[in-house]
Amino acid sequence: MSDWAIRVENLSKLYRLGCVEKRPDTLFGYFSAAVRSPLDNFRKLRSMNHFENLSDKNILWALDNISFEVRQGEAMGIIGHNGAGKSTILKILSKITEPTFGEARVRGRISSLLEIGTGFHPDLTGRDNIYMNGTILGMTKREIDRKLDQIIHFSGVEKHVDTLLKFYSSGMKVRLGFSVAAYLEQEIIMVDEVLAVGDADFQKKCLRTMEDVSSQGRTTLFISHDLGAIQTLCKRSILMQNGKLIRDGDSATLVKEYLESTDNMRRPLNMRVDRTGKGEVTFSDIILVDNKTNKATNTVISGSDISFLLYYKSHQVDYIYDMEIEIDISNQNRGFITSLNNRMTHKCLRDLPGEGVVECNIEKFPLLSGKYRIDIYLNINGGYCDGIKDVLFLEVINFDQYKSGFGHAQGRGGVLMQQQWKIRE
Amino acid sequence: MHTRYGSINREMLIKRSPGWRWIDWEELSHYRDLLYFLTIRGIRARYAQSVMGVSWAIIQPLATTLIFTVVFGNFAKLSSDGAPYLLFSFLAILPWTYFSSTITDASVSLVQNSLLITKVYFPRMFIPLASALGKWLDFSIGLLVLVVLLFYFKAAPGWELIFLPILLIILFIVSVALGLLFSAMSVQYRDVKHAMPFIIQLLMYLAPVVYSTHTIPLAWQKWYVLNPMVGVVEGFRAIFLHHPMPWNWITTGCGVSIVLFILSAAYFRRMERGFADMA
Repeated sequence: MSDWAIRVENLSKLYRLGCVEKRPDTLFGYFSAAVRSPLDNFRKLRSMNHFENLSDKNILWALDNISFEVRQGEAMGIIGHNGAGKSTILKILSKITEPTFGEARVRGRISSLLEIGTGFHPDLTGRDNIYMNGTILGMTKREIDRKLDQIIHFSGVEKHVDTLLKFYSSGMKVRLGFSVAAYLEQEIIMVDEVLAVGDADFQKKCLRTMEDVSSQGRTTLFISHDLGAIQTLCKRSILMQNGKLIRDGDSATLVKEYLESTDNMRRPLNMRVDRTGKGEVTFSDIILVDNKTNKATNTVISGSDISFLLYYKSHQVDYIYDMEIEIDISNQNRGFITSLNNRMTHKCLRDLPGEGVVECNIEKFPLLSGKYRIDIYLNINGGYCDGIKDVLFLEVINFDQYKSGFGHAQGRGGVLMQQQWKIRE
Repeated sequence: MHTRYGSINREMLIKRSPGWRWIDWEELSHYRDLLYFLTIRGIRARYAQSVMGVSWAIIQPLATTLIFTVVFGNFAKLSSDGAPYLLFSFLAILPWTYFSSTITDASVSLVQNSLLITKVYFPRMFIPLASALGKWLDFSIGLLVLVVLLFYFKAAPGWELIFLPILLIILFIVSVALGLLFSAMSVQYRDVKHAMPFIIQLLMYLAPVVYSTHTIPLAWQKWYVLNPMVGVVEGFRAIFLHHPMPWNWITTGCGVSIVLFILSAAYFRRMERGFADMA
């Protein structure tokens, strides 16, 4: 007998996308559509969970025939872009939703943390919410009775445990929620992105707890955009892309591969669909230009003079009164470094045409060697219009920044700081 | 360590379930503490931050009774089988309020709790069921009001009072049945929410709340008493107004409510598979 805890075989999950409505173009057509629409709506609603014709283009394969095994006591990470199917795997394994095809087998009790503090209610006290959340996660009242003091102690909200939850700060809520989860006794724990909340100290505490969990010999599945955390917690990972499992192996290798694939996979910006915002005005391209050579590049020499060129296009109007652009720079593991923003630096972008280019110039690019991610955001007249992550993947190299022939060693990251040295009298 | 939930060695198979499934009692029993806390949560949430708090459970049925007494008892002079109309009407409104508020609450409960449904697994039935359980608090408070009214009218219940639990069980079954049905329907068809006030009103006039069953022509009565609320309401009146217990109506109602419950539960279980994708 093999020692697997989770075994997934040929699992697929289909969703039906909203159908495009046919628009009537005559008055008669309009009236007859109005009469028929309840019937059409009924058919559409009823078909939400039926998949007769698999080639239908309104069907989305959230998971496409995936198979994997997780050994007992193993911690496995799931890596992939938004919409790659990571959360769907957890939802199926925790029985929240059913697979359309294929099957999974699970040995032992399983608990999923897709969210911290599920079931919390503002009009209950902290103590009552511990019971509420605990029983929702599958604990019995007696189990919680036994661990109540530890949970309260771990959360650090002892003084307020009999206060109504609505008077808690968001940080306190998160701490309380995580503390309940930390005392789950299920043999298999699945965690989705929960470490993205709380302050740095609490995040560290969570990470330590997660490490404890996996070292106790419990099976853990872990989804996070924090690739550093995945590498710390899981030896092995699977890499998901568009519902398919494309790689299964050592976490460090996969993280590297994932980061590289995000670079190569880059589609033209105007074709990207993983964007947020209302979309009245959107970015159509971003180009990084080296001002010395005047050429587009993705490789920047630390300390050189560069510009971001941001191409935008309005889909409704041909005049834009006010625009605000933010460029966020973070490191490979999504650790935030800095942001560039025209409003922040007191430069109004006013009275623009419906389509055009905005330039952001940086005279001495102040980061040392490494790979950096660029996310961009667009506000029009104060309303959030477009936001895309990972539009560029910059490679910065060190090269004699101080014109001394010495400079920083290749591969040493950090910031480039202008400096003056002298001997004081 | 022999239950499905306790043992490490037991395997759980996850696959698309067949269309029709019956209630998984073992699972419900495993999660029973959750049902308790969901019920408590519902009660607390309902009366939190309201000035009158639980006294709403007194005001609501009492005000309705007074209005009905004035409109239907005094103006329209509907027959109350010889009893004071106020008492006659309150005895119907007490179980009716339980029934109508349960199905109203339950019908929106799944949609309101969509955050829970999409984030964690537990028996979905508990959500409408918790609505039905929580309403017993209001009902108990209503019973206290009934005691006061009985003193006022110097009426005492007959020995038939021992049958009250039977009526309450039928009341519970029929309320849960419709609660399950409407809640499952409203996940897929949000129309249910809009239709609910109308349905409740229609059902009220189909039950002997403002009038007496004896005013229904005999030829129609055999169809009329298929409504389980007829037996419940007339049973209440029989106990406290010293009429003979209408066992025919009660047993019919009991049978219908059990059939309703079986059908609704089966429908709920069938629809349940898609709740997380549609809620």
